[in-house]
Amino acid sequence: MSTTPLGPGPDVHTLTGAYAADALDGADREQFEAHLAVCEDCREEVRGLRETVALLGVAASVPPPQRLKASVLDQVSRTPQLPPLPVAAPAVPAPRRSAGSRLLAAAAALVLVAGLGVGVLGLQARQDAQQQAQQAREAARQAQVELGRIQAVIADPSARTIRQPVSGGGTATVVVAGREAVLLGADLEPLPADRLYQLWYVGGDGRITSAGLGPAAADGAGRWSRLLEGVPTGTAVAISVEPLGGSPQPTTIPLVAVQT
Amino acid sequence: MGQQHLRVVDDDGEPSGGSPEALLSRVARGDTAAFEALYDVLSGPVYGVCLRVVRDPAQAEEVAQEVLVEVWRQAARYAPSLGSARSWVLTIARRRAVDRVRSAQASTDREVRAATAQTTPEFDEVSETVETRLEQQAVRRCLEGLTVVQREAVDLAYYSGYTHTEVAAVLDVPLGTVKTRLRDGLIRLRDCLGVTA
Repeated sequence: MSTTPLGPGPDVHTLTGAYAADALDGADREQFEAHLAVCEDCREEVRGLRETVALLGVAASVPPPQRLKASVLDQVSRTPQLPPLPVAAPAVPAPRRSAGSRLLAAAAALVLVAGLGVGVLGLQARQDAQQQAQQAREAARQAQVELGRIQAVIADPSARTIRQPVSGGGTATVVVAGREAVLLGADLEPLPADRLYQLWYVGGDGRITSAGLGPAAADGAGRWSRLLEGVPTGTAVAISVEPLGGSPQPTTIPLVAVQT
Repeated sequence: MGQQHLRVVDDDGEPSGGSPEALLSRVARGDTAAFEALYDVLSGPVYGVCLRVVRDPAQAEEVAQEVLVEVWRQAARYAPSLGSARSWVLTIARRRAVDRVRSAQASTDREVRAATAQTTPEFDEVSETVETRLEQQAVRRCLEGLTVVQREAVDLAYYSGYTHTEVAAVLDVPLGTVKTRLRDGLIRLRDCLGVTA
């Protein structure tokens, strides 16, 4: 077993994982915390890895015995709380990222994938290389435009976020700002080659209209995003599985309906 | 297809209202109803982490109680710069559990109970929230994307509570190797889960 001295140099940055997993103690931990104070990149990385590690904890979740709740509440009623620590001005204010940032990052990755995916899938095999390149560029440009509009919706301070689990696995999240909305699909079941996900608007009067097809490509984690335009208030957004090319009305029971 | 087949529900995803951060900030002001709500959300992860590290259910229950009471005591000392409320609570949980395991008393108990050590704890599907279950599925799926050695390092460091030095000793590899595996494994997990801090 070797011991590596901590100190300036590329090696110290690799400790972000160990630190985030709380696998550093004593002098190692103190030294790394001293390094963190002067390394913004490491601080940034530790923030993300810490949240990742918290999800490992969630994955280990086990409901405790019922009696624990009463026992805890009883002890809490007899336990004084500590006052806040004196406030020191932080050297670098830590940005408080909201759920919007997470959605935005997901949407950003996915619209680009979706845009390029649709462009490539739409090509005829006989087209020459130049036309292919041009179509790919156009698809990428359209993806950028769509991404910009998705960003605008998610970043809107008045935007509302509604998330629903999807029957069969995954979640559908709708972010609504005014009459524009973004639908984000995550962890939806991969479909057979002859099926796709189709989106629907369900009006308050029960009328169902197609809101378009799910994108042709999802990223490795099964996520995709779609900009929805002109969504009237009180409409629900639904997703169903349809044959390739879509259907005029849902032919299968929708897997989820998100009420906006 | 009739409308009755659709499961239409109202907006329940507002981040600010019932989020662990919002609840914790109310707990910091002595709000016991908020503490109860926080208990309902976090007691599963807290107890689960304690159970994984301590392994004995009776001790896990004791440690979980200590942790949750500590959350009540220290609520005013939580700040968003420390990370999400959930991550703050689970860090307390893991540290307390590791402390318990390392105490002399626990060592003896650990040897005695090693013979009856549980494997994968069963969980009551009904009482887990849908969100927790979806997150669990996502984590399990993303863990499969790690290499065997990355997963091993993460498992030993996080779930077993070893320091990185101890992990290196257990695996008989250089310390630098452990550091890299932990970092790469967690980065891969982070990217797969789509985490941004």
